[in-house]
Amino acid sequence: MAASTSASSSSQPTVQEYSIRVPKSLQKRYHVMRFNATLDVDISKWTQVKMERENNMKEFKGIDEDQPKFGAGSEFGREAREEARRKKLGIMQRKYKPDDQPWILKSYSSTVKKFKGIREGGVSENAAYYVFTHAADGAIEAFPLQEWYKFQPIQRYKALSAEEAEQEFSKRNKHLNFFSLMLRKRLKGDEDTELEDGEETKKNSGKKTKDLKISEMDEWMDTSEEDSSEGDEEKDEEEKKEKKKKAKKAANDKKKKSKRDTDLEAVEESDDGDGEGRELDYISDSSESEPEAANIAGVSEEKALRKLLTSDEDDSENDEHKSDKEQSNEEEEKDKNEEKADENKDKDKKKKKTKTKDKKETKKEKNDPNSDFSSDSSTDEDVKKQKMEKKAKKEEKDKESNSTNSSRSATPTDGKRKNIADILGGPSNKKQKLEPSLNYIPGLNESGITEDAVRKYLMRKPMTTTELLQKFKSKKTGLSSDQLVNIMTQILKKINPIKQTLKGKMYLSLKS
Amino acid sequence: MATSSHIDRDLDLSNANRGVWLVKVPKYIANRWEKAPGDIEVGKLKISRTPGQKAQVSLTLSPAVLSLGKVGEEDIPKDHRLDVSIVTQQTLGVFSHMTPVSTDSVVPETEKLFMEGRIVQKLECRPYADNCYMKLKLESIRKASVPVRQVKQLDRIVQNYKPVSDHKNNIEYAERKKAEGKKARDDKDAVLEMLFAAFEKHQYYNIKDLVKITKQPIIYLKEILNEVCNYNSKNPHKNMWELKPEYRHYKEQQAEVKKEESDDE
Repeated sequence: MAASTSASSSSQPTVQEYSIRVPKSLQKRYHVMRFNATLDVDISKWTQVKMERENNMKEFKGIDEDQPKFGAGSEFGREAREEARRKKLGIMQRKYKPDDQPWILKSYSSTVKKFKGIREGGVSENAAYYVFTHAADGAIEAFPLQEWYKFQPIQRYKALSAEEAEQEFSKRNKHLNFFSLMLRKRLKGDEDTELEDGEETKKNSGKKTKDLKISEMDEWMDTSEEDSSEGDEEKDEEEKKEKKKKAKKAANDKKKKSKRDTDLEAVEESDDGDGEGRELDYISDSSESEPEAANIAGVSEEKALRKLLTSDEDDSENDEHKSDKEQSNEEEEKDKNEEKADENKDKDKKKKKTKTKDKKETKKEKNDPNSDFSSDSSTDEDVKKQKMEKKAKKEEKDKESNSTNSSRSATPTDGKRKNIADILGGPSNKKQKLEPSLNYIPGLNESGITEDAVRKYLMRKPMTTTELLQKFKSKKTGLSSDQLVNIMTQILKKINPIKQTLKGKMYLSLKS
Repeated sequence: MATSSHIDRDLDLSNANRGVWLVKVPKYIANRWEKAPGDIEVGKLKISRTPGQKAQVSLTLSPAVLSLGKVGEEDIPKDHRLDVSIVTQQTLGVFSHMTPVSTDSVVPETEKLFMEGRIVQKLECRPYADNCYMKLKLESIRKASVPVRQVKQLDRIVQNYKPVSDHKNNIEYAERKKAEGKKARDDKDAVLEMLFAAFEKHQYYNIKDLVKITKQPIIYLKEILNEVCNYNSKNPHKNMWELKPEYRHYKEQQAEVKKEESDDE
């Protein structure tokens, strides 16, 4: 029935009448889809939309239902048995109704938007809802609404848990720190950047800056090989001493310190890894500052120290005049020779040596009555044995050798301290003797260049030899480039890396 | 049909732009409308516009609908006013879901989804508080106050359970068993044949099921099983028999099977 419109005068209201029908033709069920206004969904702008029921079959059935129904791995009559078991336990399972599952709505436009429509209950409890539409003939058709579905967007990303969020947050801090690090780097200038390798940690660089700031006490700082905390204590002490400017006292202080150092060194050998960069840093510094330290010591004392030094070197008396490095070099060479010989021979030799040493010592004792290093010779053999054991251990820990090496190389350069350690019955002195590894390369130890370090670099990425050399040069090894090249060639020979030529350059690489 | 609802279907968007009205009506009207046949007029909607005033919308039920009620039922009010409001804070749409009426038709109809439009206006149907409506409410209140359960005195014992000495099922089963007689030992090759056929279908069998399948005495069957099968004494597949590896050739999941074996042993 068409709408009959009766228009009348302006005072009278215009009345429009529509007849309402309730068609019952199809098995058509009407539902409401509800979106929050903030989602900004415009139904009229939809171009292509697909809808489906969410498949919750897996959740419904449980986890153990994925077993094969037949063939390999299947059990005969499994389902029936399961059913029987459930019945026995009084579990009545509801049937899975796909029509009760939520709707998944996919709206295709430039991007695909996904919504999940969950049925809402209780809307039509006390009232009924109809939807009125215009029929073709102008009448109104009313359809009852069955269900209300609330559609919500499906999150494509996974929300972080509390722990994960925490982790990410800390990462964020790290990034910020990297920025500040860069800034600091720029302010500082080149001298530090030289040293900074890619793997150097933030902590490390922080330490460096600290070192830089206290410029007055650089010399002292450098001689000390301790952790930062202990170093601080020392510094305070040293500051006072320095003010007094009494060389003797300073020397005493050093003695104390070195005592600690010896202890520390023992510890450091076992613990390694994190302090790698830092230690390297120290080496370079200490080698530079050495002369200064020597100056501070009184002349007479210096002499004494020299003598002490020579006492360690058994073979040659002219060692006295050699630089510290050379001494250590020779020591190691000697060690190498010893290794080649049998242990018995070794011992014999040593006995001889000790004898000669004794002689020397007696000589020196005349010169220098206050020295207590006579104990040194007595302990010599024992220490040697210990050394051998330690050496074996060390080779086991080859991968750490970078760090150990650095600590090792630090000791000989610091000749003065070593001597003091000797005076105090120093096993540390001996330690340095035992240190050369079996495959020994002269000049290697103090330089901080080890097979492992080279291996590490090569494993990380292919490099040319020049690049490789540059890596070590930047560490201020104190070696001339000739020496460095020499050492490097020997190491490379031993490692025998994979060679490949790219763009006319030979790249070396290693595979782990 | 159960699986077909998980297939995603296109939503027919031809009516998506159409604005429709959402009308909330009292239950008593909805009840009548449900009963009414589809082709008759169930009511009239009147929109009277007076210039400078809000449009008045009213609903008048047709006499046919009014007379649809049962004999004992109260009359329902004829006239209602419709309060118009707009939809805020949300976007409402109406879609319809058509399920095939008859599944036995030659060309099987699939489920269809139609977008019926978006709701532009919300109307609430309210009765005028006249005598008729008050009577209706009074009746409904009176009905609601009547307790659902009532006390009733019994003059005889009501017996709703009688014990049975032997159930019908049990008797049937016993009879069938008797008819079958004792299980006779078959030829070993024949039994093996049956076993292999069974193990082709499934990998694991309980001894009881094998007895049922082969119809052999359990002792004899166990003798044979010990030759060609392994017994699983541990989970998963506890107390089940499976063929020894040399006898089986399951194609897929071979690796998995082997793994399970090692787990079992």
